[in-house]
Amino acid sequence: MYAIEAIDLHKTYVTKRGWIRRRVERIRALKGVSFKVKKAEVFGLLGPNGAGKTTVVKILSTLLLPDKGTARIMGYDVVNEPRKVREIIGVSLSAERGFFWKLTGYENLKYFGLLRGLKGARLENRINYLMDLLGLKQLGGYTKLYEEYSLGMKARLNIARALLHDPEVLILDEPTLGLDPHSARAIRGLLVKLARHENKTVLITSHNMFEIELICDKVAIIDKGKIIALGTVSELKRLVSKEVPVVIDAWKYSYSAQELLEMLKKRINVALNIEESGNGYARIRILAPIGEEEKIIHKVIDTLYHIGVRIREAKIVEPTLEDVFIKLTRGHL
Amino acid sequence: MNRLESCLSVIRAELYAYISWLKNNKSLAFFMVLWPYLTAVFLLGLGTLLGSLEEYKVRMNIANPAFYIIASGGIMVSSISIIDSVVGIALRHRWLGTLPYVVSSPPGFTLTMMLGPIPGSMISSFIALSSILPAAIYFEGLLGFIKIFIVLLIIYLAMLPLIGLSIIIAGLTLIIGEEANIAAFISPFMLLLSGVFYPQTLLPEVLRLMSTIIPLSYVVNAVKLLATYHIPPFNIFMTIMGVIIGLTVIYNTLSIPGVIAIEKRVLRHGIHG
Repeated sequence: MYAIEAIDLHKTYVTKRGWIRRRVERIRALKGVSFKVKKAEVFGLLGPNGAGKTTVVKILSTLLLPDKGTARIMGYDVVNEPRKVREIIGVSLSAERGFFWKLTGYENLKYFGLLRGLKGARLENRINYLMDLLGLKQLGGYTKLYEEYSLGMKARLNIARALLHDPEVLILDEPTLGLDPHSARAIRGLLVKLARHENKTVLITSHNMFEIELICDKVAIIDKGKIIALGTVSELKRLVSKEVPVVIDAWKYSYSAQELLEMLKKRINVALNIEESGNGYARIRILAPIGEEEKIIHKVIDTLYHIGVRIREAKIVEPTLEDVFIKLTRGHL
Repeated sequence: MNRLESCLSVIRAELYAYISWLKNNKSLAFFMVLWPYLTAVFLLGLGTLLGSLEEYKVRMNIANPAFYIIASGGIMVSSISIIDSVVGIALRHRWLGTLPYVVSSPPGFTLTMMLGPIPGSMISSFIALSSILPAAIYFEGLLGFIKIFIVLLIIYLAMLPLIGLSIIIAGLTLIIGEEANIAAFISPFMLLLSGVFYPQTLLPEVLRLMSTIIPLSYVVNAVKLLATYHIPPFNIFMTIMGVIIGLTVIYNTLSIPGVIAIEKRVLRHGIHG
């Protein structure tokens, strides 16, 4: 039996707009998503914004009904047996909200614990254990109101809530989004520990490829509502074995990443992506076919030079999950 | 977790959250105590606007205006809190972002939206009526204490018809997906219909008919009885209780098909934090 099974999930959001003339808008969020996650596996769902990651998470968390298809958690159907599913899953959505602002961290956890049927010494011990484990005790999380928490503390409290009832399956939607590197590392470490030592199954969504590569046993790449690649990180990397990843760092340019991307795409026909790294810096990542890397680097540098963008560094690097992602989605993040 | 355990979990959790919230908002707790007196002054001002206190007694058909005005102040505050809790639960959870976590816990959407408003409503009614207790004892002695206790029990009883309604309102709030707190619009109208401001006999026929299906009307009538007699006529009192219980059965029976349909619609639409 798989810990998580998603079979041919479809979902279309229907929204109605306008007062007199009602316009119906249909957005196909999922177009047949299927994947399976083994017990004690850390599974990553990777995709650009609007790819359908959160829709999958909501269906698995019993917060949304699919139009078609089936999803099961530890063999329980999310549509027909939602109460059973809710007992064995721990869910974490956005870290910024989701708690009572005028309650302390301890009071918030106690509320959610009571709601899940925990009480007495068992609940107290569990809150104590989790606050300690996530470093919230040391940061004064017991007595601080939630509104006084830093973003890192909020994210930790969010994970603590998901773990409160010791669930078998954790479903986490971008748990490290917006966190400082130290907090993000602490949470990543904890998730791996939970899977390796406590046999928890973890499904994590992210568009942070570094994070997914670091902790996931298996990864699915989702784009425009479809799974476009599925496998271990090394299996996925083999998809770019015929390409050479090239990184070019450029600086002092007045264009946006999107404008630059459009300009380069007009000149060279390869998969590429541009990340803005602040203060006018940009990192251009190109997947050049083997044997053509030199020619392509010249072409890119030439284009950038003509539009006034200065190059700081250009180098060939080891392939990462990001390159797979760039190749499969043609670079849109 | 079976259904009974789920119900108890919701009550326990909401009770704990409400008490903690009050503990951390001490100024709010202070104003909750003061509020019934402010509304009593408002009612007194409204009642004597067109004449003396004697005329007010005649118009309202009550023997003891002091007790009536104070108790009505308590009822008004309780009613506003109850309507706010019942109508606003889904919006409150959505604003806080707690809605997805509440719905993905074992009690689920229906039980949480149905039972969630009860603890807060009970506590706020208890605070409102406890705060007027000294005044009631001052005017009527031990009998005032007993009468306030009876009013509190009637208010608790009058909350029962609202359980089914609360889930339908919560569901509609989420389906419509707009951010209006309709409680703010409903409260004054409900209070007007209940007869707490001035007698229902002065209302137009249509509004008087509407007032018969509002549980709050019966609470106000019960208080009038308590303010008029030392010991209210047993049969009239029991009739009022009977109507409230009848409304509970009718409202909740009518709500059941709506509850099931609304839960499905809300989940098809999706729970957004």
